[in-house]
Amino acid sequence: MKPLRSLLPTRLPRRRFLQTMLGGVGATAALPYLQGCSKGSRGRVVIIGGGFGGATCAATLARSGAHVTLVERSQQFITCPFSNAVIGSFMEMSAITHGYDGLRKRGVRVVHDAATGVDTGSRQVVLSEGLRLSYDRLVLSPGIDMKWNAVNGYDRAASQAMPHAWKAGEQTVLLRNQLQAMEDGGVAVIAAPANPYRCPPAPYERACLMAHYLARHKPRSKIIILDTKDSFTKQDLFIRGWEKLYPGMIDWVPASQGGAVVRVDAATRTFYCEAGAFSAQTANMVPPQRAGEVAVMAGVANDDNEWCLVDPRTFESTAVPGIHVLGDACYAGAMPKSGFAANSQGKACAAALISLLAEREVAEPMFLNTCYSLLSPDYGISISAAYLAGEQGIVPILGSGGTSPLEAPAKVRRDEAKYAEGWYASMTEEMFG
Amino acid sequence: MRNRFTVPLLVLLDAVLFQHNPVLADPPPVTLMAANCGGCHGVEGRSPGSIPSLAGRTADELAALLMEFKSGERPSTIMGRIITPFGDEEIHRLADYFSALPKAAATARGDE
Repeated sequence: MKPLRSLLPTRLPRRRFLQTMLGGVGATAALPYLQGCSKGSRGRVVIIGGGFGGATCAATLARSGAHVTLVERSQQFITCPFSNAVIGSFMEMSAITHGYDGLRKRGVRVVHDAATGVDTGSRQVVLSEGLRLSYDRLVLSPGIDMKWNAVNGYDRAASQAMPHAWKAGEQTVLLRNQLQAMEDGGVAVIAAPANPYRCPPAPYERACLMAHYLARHKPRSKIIILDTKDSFTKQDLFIRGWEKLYPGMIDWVPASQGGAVVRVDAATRTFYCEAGAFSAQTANMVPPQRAGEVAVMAGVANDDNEWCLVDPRTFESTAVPGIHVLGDACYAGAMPKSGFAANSQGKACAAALISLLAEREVAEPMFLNTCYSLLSPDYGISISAAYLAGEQGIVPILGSGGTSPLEAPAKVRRDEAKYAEGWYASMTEEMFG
Repeated sequence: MRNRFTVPLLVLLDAVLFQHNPVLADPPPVTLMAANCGGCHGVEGRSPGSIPSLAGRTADELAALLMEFKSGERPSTIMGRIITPFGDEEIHRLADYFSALPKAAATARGDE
């Protein structure tokens, strides 16, 4: 019998776990799943960013009775998951829009304001009107920001004519409207970035759900994916799906065939790459990304000023003590930048915070990710893996996970589409219910 | 992406040679493992959607299902893929954990 731990790149030091955490199942199981923090215990946690990482962390801390303040600029959170279904015109924006009342009811203090600064010396967050929030531990879950002008001509103004739709909301609607306004026989272009970026399968899912709409309403239209990569996640499954569901409609131009977009012209919605100039009626430019601005402002975007390096057990920044970074903004080793990953990290971070604030040893975390993609409303595929924290960061447990089978009956694809919805229901209830 | 994450060849060999009945040597607490199940199966195993709930089912049933998913005896979309490297002990701990949770939430929403 060989310990699973030995499958990690470096053997970890053995750690002792608190009896209360390992505990007899009978002793802990009927109680909330993260025990150990009673109401009124010391430790002020401030979380900036109310998306998958931040809202999960806040909800988990609140369920454990901890005091937590969530700072989020927007009154509502619109999820990127299922925003491609909105672009494909079979879901409404209201179905992917969530409010923060559920978190308030759980006891989270929700402050709708922008954080304009972080004073790491006095451990205070500065809000827009000068109000300051003191913290013992600060969690940043700011998501991504676009690297404007990394692609020549693609700045914030250009994103109105050539939406990225990589933060769900107004951008999603802009792109859906372009698709709906397109004439039959028109061209839609999706320009996909190099790794790493938010939600690796999303450009290819988007192509499918655009195709789902066009096949019904404008069947002579074409979709061209101009890619800065030569391969992508679930590639065989996607290509098989394109051939089966939308034959001849989707063309993929990899970097090796000149697909990397280097310049755009917003006025004519034209993409320029080695393969040529592509003018599009529906122009989706997904640019390179970096950690959200708050992370840069707080001085924790220490990976080439783009992403945030963190301790894989606590998500504490390697740059600034007391600041933890979750989700897309952090470099989480082998975990992709996905909503599911941020949710998993949010719970592990909450558990770590409870231990740290109580000055107890942090238990070994485990992480999980599953990325569902819809190729049509009733055709789903997935990739999944479980992870542990190793000396070299977060690494997959060998033998766990993998992708949907390349050959599968329609029922399996239908089931995965159904479970994608089930996953969304579970996760959004956990965060906002 | 940078080369910060690389799996040395030795580790792969190790995996190939010793992957018979893996058990976590230093396992995460069952609470932290189970929190991940909630990503699909709902908080504390109570699912609001199309994915089956886990809370309050018998430990025998849950453990048997996981064993069957793991062996492939029972077909699954995702569960079999995820559970593959987990040993009998982890499976029983997870089954015991979820079986001890109430089927309905202990407190009404907002009643914290």
